[in-house]
Amino acid sequence: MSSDNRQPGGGEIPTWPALRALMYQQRSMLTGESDADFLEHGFRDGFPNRAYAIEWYQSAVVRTLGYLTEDWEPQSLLQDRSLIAHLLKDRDARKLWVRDPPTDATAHEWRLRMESQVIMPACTKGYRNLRGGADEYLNTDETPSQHAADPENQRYVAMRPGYQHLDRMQHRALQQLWAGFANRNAVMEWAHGLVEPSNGELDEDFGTRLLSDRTAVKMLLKRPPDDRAAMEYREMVAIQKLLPAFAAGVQSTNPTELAKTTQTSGTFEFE
Amino acid sequence: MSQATTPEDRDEAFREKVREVFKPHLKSRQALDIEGVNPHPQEPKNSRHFDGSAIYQHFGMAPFADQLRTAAKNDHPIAQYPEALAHLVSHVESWEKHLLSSGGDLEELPRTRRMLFEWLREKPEKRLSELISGGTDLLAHGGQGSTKTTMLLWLAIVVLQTNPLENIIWQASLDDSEWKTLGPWATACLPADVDVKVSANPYRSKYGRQAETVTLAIDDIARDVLTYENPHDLARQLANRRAGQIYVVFPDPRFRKCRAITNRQYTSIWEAERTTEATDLKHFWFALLEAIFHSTEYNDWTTIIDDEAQKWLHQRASQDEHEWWDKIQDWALTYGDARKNRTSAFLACHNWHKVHSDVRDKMRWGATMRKEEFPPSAPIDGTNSSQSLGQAVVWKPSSAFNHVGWSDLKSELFVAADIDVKYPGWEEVRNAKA
Repeated sequence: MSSDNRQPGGGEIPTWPALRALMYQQRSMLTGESDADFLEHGFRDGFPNRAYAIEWYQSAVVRTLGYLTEDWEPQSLLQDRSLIAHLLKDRDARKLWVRDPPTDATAHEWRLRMESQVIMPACTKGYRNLRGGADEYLNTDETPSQHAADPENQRYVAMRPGYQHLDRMQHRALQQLWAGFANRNAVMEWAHGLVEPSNGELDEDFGTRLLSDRTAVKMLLKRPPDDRAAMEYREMVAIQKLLPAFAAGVQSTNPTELAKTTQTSGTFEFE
Repeated sequence: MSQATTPEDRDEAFREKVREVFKPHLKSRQALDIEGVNPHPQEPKNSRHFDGSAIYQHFGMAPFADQLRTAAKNDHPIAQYPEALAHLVSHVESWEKHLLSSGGDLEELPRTRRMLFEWLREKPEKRLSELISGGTDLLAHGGQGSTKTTMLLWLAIVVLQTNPLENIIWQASLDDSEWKTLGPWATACLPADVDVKVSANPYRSKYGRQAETVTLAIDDIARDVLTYENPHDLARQLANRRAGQIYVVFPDPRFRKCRAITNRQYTSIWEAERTTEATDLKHFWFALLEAIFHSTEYNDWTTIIDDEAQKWLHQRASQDEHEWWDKIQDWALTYGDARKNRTSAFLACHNWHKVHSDVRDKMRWGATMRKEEFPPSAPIDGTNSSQSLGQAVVWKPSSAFNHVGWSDLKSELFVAADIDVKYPGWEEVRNAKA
């Protein structure tokens, strides 16, 4: 076999590539500045509507390794209209949620406080959780490859493809829900596809149960995009059913498995 | 002491250099075909190694299964998600799949194949459950210079490593000669009675201002040459040679028997009044697939490789006088059947959306080169911005994906010249009727 360049102490160990990548992903979800991120909006600037906020929340749970739900439960996105109002970018959009909407400045300040009191602590917990695992791997014989990917370009959350996979699939599931379904079969197929991104928390019955509810069927099958009722219904399904299951899926994925990924899920170079 | 070398001497020296670089590999079992030793069933199995074994070792590649093992030890996704890549190059018969699931004896298998099978069956739920028997299909996309052809060459080598009795059919174009990387093991298949010219344009910087086009023979580069009368004849000849070889096929500009084989319209440059009426040479590939699939004699595992798929499987092919749209439909349908019968297709294109959607639907794997946007069916959004040259993301729709890289094969067999294959007679008529 060709020479193995994975020698301990051979050259500079890229120290904490997994941690740097996680930090980068966490920063990106707050500032919204990265082109490589599939999230279109960062938390600080606010969201055009609740659907975007739901998407953000889904990914933030992954990027905090599940810790976000401790202080911010998914249900609040459904029940707390004031919370939604403060998450939104535009005053006009806020009017749909509360009678006396906050100003841009107030909403912005509120988000900054949310960031420091709720989101950052969750980020830190996620980071520490990962670092705890990373300690273990540095003590073994296996060390990161010299080709460790530059986190600026690294689009994996926490360098573990399991997380990347989960994040992508969860995001995609939400987008498909927003788009609506052509027929009952399409709903079933979509429901099947939820098993993996929820790590089994949502089972195959989910689709059947959805389809046995006449309202659900009406609201999920393709409707014109400006049908507010259909969109609200879909957001409700996302908040009540998907987000909790997705979060549980993230939490049930063992973060220490992540620490053992030495070929830092950058590209595997075949020899 | 400078010699007064004549241009002829310099040309011959250059040819010698080419022959040396592309020295044919003659020690394998498959090379016996060149010595005129007919294949026969009683051929002792352990007599010689396969081309497939020689090739990967020549390029300093490690056995594929070994690399998967190392990856698995490090929990690398390439091992955790074998659908994206390991399965792409595992061509198994349905009885082999059964053998794997039932824990049958693998002793009879060639070594590198056995190694891969052992790895697969160590973790059946993860590595076997998604494995499909029959052929596999890939559509790779990337701009010029994205090294997608090198990727195809690499895949061909990996396929031959673990499937040493499989044939590679490289559908060659006249425009470039990337296949020469595999020259020492390849058999060039030329259309009979067609004027073929192989020329090299040595790079000036290396060979100086006197460097001009040097004519070569095709077997200065390829190990062996055969000529075929028509697609049926080609299939028949391949059936009578040892399995496990690389065939670089050049299209027949006379389209002999193509009309009969495909039941579609073909007009050669000789039949046409104007050049614009002549059928594009690449329509030959439609007839080739039909001939291979329907051949009663040819029954070997085969991977067809084409790195310019959009040129003949174009999304916007019109229903023209060449019945191009119908040919594409036929090809997609036939391929769907062929892959149940030991045939695989690895295609590459410049632009994903330029390959006909009916063909794309049949390609169960995709590979996205660097800087390319992931197509809608990929399980990843956005652009492949994190990779360099020699890397790609291999994926299956809504399922697994993996970032992979391969070595720069071409530097191994390098000659400081551009080499191309032309059909002078055909070109002359084309120019006359333009």
